[in-house]
Amino acid sequence: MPNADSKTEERILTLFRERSEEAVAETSRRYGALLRAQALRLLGSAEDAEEVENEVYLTAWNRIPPEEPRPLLPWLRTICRRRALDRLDLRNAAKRGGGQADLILDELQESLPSGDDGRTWAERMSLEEALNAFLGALTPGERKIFLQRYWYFLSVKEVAAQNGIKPGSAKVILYRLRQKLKTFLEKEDLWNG
Amino acid sequence: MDNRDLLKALGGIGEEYIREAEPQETTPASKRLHFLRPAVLGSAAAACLLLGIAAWQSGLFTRRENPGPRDPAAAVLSGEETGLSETTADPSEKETDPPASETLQASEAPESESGEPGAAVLYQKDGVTVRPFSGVSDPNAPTAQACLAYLTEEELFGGSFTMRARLTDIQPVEIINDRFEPPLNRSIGAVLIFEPISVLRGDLPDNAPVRVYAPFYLNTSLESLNYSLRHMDKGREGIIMLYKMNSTGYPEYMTALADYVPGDNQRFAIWEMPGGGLAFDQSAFPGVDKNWTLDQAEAYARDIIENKAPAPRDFSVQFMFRYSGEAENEAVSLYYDSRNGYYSEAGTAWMEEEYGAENLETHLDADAETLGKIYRSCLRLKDLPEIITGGGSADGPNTVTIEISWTADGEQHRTSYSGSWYRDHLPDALKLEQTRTELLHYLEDCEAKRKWEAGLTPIAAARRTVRAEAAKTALEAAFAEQYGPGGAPSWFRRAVITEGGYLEVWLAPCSKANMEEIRNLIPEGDGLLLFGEESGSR
Repeated sequence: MPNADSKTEERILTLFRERSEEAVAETSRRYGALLRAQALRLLGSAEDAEEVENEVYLTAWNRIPPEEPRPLLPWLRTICRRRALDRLDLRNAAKRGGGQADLILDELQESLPSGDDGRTWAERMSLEEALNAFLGALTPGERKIFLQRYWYFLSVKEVAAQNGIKPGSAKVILYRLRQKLKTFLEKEDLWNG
Repeated sequence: MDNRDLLKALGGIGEEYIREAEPQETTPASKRLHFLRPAVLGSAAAACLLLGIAAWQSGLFTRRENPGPRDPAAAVLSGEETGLSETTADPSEKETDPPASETLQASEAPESESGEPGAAVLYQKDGVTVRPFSGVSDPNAPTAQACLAYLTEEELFGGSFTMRARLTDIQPVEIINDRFEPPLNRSIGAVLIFEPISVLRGDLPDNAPVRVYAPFYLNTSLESLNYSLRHMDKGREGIIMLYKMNSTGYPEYMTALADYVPGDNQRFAIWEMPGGGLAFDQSAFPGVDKNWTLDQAEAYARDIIENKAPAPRDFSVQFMFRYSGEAENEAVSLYYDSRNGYYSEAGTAWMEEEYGAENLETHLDADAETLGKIYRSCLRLKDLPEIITGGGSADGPNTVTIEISWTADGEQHRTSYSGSWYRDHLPDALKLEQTRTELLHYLEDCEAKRKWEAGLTPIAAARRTVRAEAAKTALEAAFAEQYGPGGAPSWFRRAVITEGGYLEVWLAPCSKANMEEIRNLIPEGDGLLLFGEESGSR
C-alpha cells in the first residue's frame, strides 16, 4: 500500500523546489486545517490562527529549498508553534484573548526550579537538551500527555479524551509531570533564575 | 528563565516525540462527519456535506488470512466534543493543586488499553474481536463520511423486514479488526434489542425479540445528523425498517451478534417521541408528518408497502470511508458479492486483482486528502446483478475514479467515471435504467448525472423538486434580509436545484455555526443536500 503521507510530502517538497505557487496551495489543502487548529488552541483567535498559518507558509517558502524537511508535517508544526508563541509575545500581557496560552504559562510556572546558583545556561546543558532528556525519561504515555498539553496546546479535556482518561486524572498526571520536570531541572542544576 | 522560555524551549524537542504525541484530530458532531468531498470549486476547498450518513463500516467485512498485530489503542471515553472553536479557555481547567482525594485508577494510567479491561469477549475469530463498550463517544473510532443512499419511502418501508416495535435495550460493542491498521481497525457499533409489536413486512415466526446490529453507533459524525440513532432511546417505540442478514452476505461476527441490520443507519426508524410527535429524517419520508401519531405513521407505512413498495429484494452496498485520524488515509473499497458472500478488500488489494499491480499507480493516489474522500454508492438494481464490485481511487487532488462492474443477464458490464467532477458519463449504468447510485450527487456538470436523475421515479423527483424550490426561495429570502438584495455570506457559494429535485447548497470552508445557519434557514427535510466543509475539520 503506497504511503499516502510520504508521497504527498514529496510532491509538496517538489513544488517548493520548483518554486511553484501550487506549493503553498497544496500545503494549505493538506495541512492547513491542522496548523490553524494548532495555533487556535494557543491563541484562541481564529484571525490570529490564520495569520500564523500564513506565516508558516511564508517561512516554508523561504526555507525550502535549501531545507528539505522530512517528514514535513512535524517541521511545519514546529514553525507554527513558534510563530504562535511569537504572536503571543506581541499581545498585551494583561489581555486574555482566549486560547490556552495563559493557562499553560501558569501551569509551567510550577515547573520552574527554585534556587539560583548564579550559573548561566551557557555553562550548562541547554534547556532544549534538558527537556529532551526529561522527555526521554518519561513513559510514552506520560510523554504524550505532557506534549499534547504543552506542545500541541490541547486543553486538559482534550488531553484526557485523547488518552482515554478522565479530565481530573489528566490534571493529576500533568501536575505530577510538572513537578517531575521541576525536580529534574533542579537536579540537573540547570537553573539560573 | 521564565515560563515562556520553557514553553519556547519545548519547541526544540525531538521530532520523534512530536510525532508520537500528535493528537488524533476528532470530528465533532456535524463536523466532517457527513462529509463527502467531490471536488474543489476553483481554489476553494469546498467539500461535500450531506444530510445523512451511511454508516457501513468497511472494516466489518474482513476475512484476512494473516491478521496483523493488534493495536492497543486507548479507548476514548469522553462524553464531550473535542472540536476546536474560537472560545475562551476554561479557567477552571487550570490546575494549581491536584485534588487531594484524586487518585489515578489503574485503568486510567497513560498506557491503558482499549475496551473494558476484563470484559467478556463476545466474538473472536479471523482477526475480529468484539467486546462490550461502555463509553459515550469515541472520536478516535473511524468515521463514516459518506452519502446515504437516497432511497424513497417505498424502498425504505418496503425493505425485507419492517415492523412496529419497542426498543428494549442498547448494547454498544467495540470491534477490533486486525485486518486494518489503526485507527481504522476499531469501531463502535451497537446491538439493538426490539420487542416487536406488529410486523408490517416480512416474517417473524415466533415473535421473539429482534436483534439488530447498528454500525457506527457512537460515531461522532452521526451525532447531529443521524436521526434514527440520535433519537433512539430505550423504551421508545417506532416503525423500524430492517434487512435480514444471511449467512453468506454478512460478516460472521455481525450474524453472531444480531439477525438484522438497518438498511440505512440514518433512516431506519420513525420514533414516537415522549410528549407526542415523531422523530425521523423528513427528507427520507416526505409523506410522513412529524405531528402524526405512531398509529398514523404505521397506517401510512402499510399503505406504502401494500400499494407502492416493490417486492423485497437485496441491495448491494459499496463504500469507501475515511480514517478519522490524519495518520493514514486510505481508500478502502468494499466488494459485495451477493451470491458468494461478502468480504471487503483494501483498495489496493482489490484493484491489484482487477487491474494488475502494474496499474495500481494509476488507480491510487497518495494524496491522503483525496483518499480521504468517501463514497457510498448504493446500487439498487431491479434485475439484481450477481456481482457488483466497485472502488475508488484518485488521480489527483480532488478527483476520484469510480469503477463499477457488474453482471446482469449473464453479461459483464463495467463502467467508470473519473476526473474532476466526474465528467465521464455512465452509459453502461444507464442501460440498467433503474440503477441507483449515491454517487450521482457528485457528478457535477456531468451529463450522465442529469440523465440519471431524469430517470428517477416521477413521484420521488416531483416531490423533492417542490420542496427544493421552496427551500431555495426561503434561503434566498433569508440572505436578502440579512445581506441585502442578492447578498449572501462570504462562505456561501451557490444553491442549485438538480434535475433530481434536490437543492444543492455549496459552501466554502466555514464554521459549524455557518452550516447550522443554513440548516436553520431551510425547513427540515426539504431535499437539501448541503455541500461544505467545516474549517479545521481536516
